[in-house]
Amino acid sequence: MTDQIAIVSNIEEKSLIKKNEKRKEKTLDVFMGIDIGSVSLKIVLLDKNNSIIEKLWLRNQGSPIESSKKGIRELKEKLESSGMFNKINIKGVGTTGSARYLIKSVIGGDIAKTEIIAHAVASLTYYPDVKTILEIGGQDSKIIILRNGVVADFAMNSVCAAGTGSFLDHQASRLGIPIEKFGEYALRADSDISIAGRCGVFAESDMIHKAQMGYSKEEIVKGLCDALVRNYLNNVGKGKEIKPPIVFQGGVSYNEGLVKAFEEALGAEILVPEENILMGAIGAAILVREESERTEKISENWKTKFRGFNVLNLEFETKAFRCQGCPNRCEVVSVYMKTGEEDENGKEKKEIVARWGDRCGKWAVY
Amino acid sequence: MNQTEKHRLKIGIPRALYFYKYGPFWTAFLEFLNCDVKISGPTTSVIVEEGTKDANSELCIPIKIYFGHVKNLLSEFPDLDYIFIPRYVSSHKEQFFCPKFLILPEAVKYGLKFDTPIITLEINVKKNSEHESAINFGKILGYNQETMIKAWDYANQKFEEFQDKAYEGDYIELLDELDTNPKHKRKKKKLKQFIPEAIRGKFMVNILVLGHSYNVYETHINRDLIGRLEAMDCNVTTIEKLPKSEFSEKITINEQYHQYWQSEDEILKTARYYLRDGKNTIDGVIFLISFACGPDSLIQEIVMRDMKKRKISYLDLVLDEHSGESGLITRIESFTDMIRRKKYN
Repeated sequence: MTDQIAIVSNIEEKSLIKKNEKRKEKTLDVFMGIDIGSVSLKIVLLDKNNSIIEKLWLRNQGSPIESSKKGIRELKEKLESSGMFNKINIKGVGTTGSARYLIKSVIGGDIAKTEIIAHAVASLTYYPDVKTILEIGGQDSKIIILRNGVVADFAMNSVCAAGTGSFLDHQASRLGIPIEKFGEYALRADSDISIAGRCGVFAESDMIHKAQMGYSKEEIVKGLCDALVRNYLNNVGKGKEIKPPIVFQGGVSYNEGLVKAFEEALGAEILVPEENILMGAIGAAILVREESERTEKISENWKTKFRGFNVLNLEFETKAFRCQGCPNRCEVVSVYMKTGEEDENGKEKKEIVARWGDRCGKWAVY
Repeated sequence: MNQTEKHRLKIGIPRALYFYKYGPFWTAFLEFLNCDVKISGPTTSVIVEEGTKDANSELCIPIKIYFGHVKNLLSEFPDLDYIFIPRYVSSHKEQFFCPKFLILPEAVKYGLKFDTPIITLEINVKKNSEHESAINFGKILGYNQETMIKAWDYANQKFEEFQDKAYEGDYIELLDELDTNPKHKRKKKKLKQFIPEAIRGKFMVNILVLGHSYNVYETHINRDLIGRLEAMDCNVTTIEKLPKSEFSEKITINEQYHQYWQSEDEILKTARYYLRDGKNTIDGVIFLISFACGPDSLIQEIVMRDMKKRKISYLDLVLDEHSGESGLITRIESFTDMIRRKKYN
């Protein structure tokens, strides 16, 4: 009798283990990459083989904190509708882009890496032998030179945003052309006209002048694309050895007119990845996976700092003040998280998640 | 005004430009002459703002800051007898300092309006020996030749001692020690640690930071570059860490052209040393340049090409009063990450 019970419990135990194993099999470890730039927010979920589980893009309106929460909410909805929500386990979160540190603090990221490294790493996974990456985003442009699968050199545009996405956006709306059609217009042009591309202000007055001389919109758009490429290669690409394979990524790579202008200027094929705008986010996800693997190797202990989808229920508040401690009068920004709990005096509890902007570091919380 | 036993001359030194190089010499020189030396405090946003207000807008940022420091000295110590503004023309027979150093006393005198007299030590070995420079300086204060030669030699000895100490120690801290004013004491900054604790110190990167001392050690304008690099697990080396013997040989860029600017010569020599003997001790070079610096823009290109040939990673950072912190951090973070991935993967 006792033996039988033992056997039964043994079987039960075994099946329980099997169930657990099955559940384990079903939950997929994924890594989240968030690229928060000046214009848009990109999120991807990658599994450990770098396959995309989920992705999204949205325009970054107003504050990066609100945008990232909106992004996480959309991501959750997408996962729920595809039935993946309960099947994944977010094992790490990597952020990149100009607001990477802010978003890392807010949603609980594990690493924040620069766009250069993120874009390079992403490109290398799709094109292992890539030698040059051209990247033009909303407000900055960069060139990354790779040799033998490592970043060998890079450059970014310095102060001026002429020739980036925002500038094109502005010119498209001025010409009354939807930005999505910009490339088509350029491809339809019959002849070459030259437009000054060194500075956005000069380019604009040149465009107006050419229009008044009777050139068509198509020709002006093509002239603008050529000017941008010239400007990019002379400034950002100055002194760099641009060797194929060349990959063009970032939002502006949607513009076929620019792709063609680059091909003409460089005399080489330009590769545009399918996920051209997501490359930064993909890179961030890969980087956090690498970081988790490295940490596990050294200390066998990796735990993500991701606050979970619970982050949607949290309220964040930013407050700025001018420190009066010394003549530098630094502007210090604090980011508080409201947990909804109350302290002994019945006041709402606020937890500080980030504070920066001071030069001396006396206020800093990272 | 003469130095007497009753009246100890109070002389102010702006903490800018070559203070970051010759500061130890000047203070020792003036202290030997029994002067009460006052140094302006570390650069603040107010000093930068005040400087840019009055300096010609075409000037480079270090000169603008110099103007700010002079104003700061005058307001902090209204009873100064003199403001010490040296004129560096040449300290090697074949070389010159940047023309802005040649005209510095006049630029300040006519750019800013103030009554405190300026006292100038002129270093021009094309015209005078160094001891003659000291003797000329002594005439203003009423010292005889003998004393001035002694003062020069004493200062020189102190300067060399300082350089030896700097070779080992923290250059910025040592410079700060020259100023005993408790109001100017700087607290050690708390900088963000970029490297996760688990792997901190395990993947170090060696960086050579090139540039004029007044850019490399001016932590306000370069946003604490050295400290930040260290917080990114970098071993940082600078021109001051190079053996002095390296600076004695003449440098040739090509057969026709020998290096003409003194400061640039040091930068080039350092770069060449690391291309040769020190080749395996650095992983990357960062060149700090002030916006609108003519000499720098010339040799920046040479250094870049040299480094490219030897496949040493190179980054130039251009400083001006509008430099934002995020742009700088993105660049140095990408640069060190790039090197680290290359070195350890």
